[in-house]
Amino acid sequence: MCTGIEPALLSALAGGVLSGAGTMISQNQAEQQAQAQADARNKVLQATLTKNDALSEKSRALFDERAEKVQPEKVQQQQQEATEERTGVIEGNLDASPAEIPLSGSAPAVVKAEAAKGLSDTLAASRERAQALGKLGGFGDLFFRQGLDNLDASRGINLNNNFASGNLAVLPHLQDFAEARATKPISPIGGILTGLGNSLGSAGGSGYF
Amino acid sequence: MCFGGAPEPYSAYGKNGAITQWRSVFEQANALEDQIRAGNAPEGAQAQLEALRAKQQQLRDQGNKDPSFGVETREEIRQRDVGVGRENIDKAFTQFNPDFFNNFRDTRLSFYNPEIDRQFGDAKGKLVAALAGRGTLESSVGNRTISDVTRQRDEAKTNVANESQDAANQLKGQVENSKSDLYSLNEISADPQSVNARALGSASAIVAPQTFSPIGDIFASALQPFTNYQNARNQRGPVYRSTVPSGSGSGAVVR
Repeated sequence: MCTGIEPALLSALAGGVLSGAGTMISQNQAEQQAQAQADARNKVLQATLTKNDALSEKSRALFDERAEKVQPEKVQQQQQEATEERTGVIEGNLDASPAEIPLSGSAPAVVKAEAAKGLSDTLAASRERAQALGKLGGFGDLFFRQGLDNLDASRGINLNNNFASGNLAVLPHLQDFAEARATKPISPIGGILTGLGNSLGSAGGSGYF
Repeated sequence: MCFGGAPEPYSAYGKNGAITQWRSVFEQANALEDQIRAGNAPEGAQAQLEALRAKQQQLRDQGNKDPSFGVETREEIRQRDVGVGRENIDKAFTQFNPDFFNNFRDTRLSFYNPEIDRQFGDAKGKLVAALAGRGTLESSVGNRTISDVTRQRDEAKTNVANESQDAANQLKGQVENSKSDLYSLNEISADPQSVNARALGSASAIVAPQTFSPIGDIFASALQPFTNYQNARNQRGPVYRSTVPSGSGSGAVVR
């Protein structure tokens, strides 16, 4: 059949078309492969980030709970409780009633009255001192309690950090494994067509047609 | 035409793959183990747990053909072990409740208070005797002296109570630091059995009693003036007499 085109040129054209098609097929397959690998890595990354987001939320909740306890009204309440506890202990260690002086029955009434007043005043002064000491100690107790609250929160947050670090430590390996799973052998069709196309072009150019 | 090629590698991540099955069995076993540790597990729970752990191991052996499965499950098991270790620590330390520290504080008070009362009784007795001997017991001087020594007793009791509260706080701090150390060890070791043993050992070590130092002589300063007076009376030497003779001679005293 006469097409008006020389066979050599025709073979070159056909070779070019085949080669081009083969290259396109190979390129598409490579792009799809790269996409599948990237998707696999991203899926593993997303799963790890989701786990770590949950841990981060738990840590944030612990922090918020702790931060709540340093609000002014909470601190005042804690200080009051600490002061009351310490004052109760100190004052509770004093005698409930004033001491006595062994005066004789014939002692003048004014002496007895002065003795009783003196000891009563002594007890009152001791109670005042106990309350002052309780108030002073209450400041230290407040910061001691706040320190314990910090310790408790930090334990919980450190635990969550430990888990998050563990998840991140295995992440690169899991991504590599996922990428390997997503990697499929590329079909040889593209390469074959490219090869055929190149061969046709060479043959036409060498005068076989 | 046969193209051959390597067989498809084993994947534990397919639909209903080994990892999905393993996770399901792992979660069931963990939930049952939590119930057993909390003491509210149904009858036969222990046997059921052992069966689940055996199934879990079987799936693990199967899934380990996929290296990704091994990496992922190992980390999940580690995190589970750390969580169990933490619960064991918390359980071992429940004995250190507010009653424990209040008891320690009250024990310390009951050690020092009787000594204070004894010293006060002795001091007051001596003062009363000294004042009565000088005839100043039923006077404002006597009242003031007795009030002063009573004030000193109250100060001693106030200080002891304050220090006892400080000692209880110090003990509480030691307990919490020890607990934090165990938490850190737990996160490093991830072996709940060894952490449990350490927790019990550490808790026992903290409970060891502290030594209380003696309270000293509280009323020494109050009694000092009267002690000095009495000592001076007891050590009073002979009355001074002139060495110059009063009789005749060159040394006679001129009257």
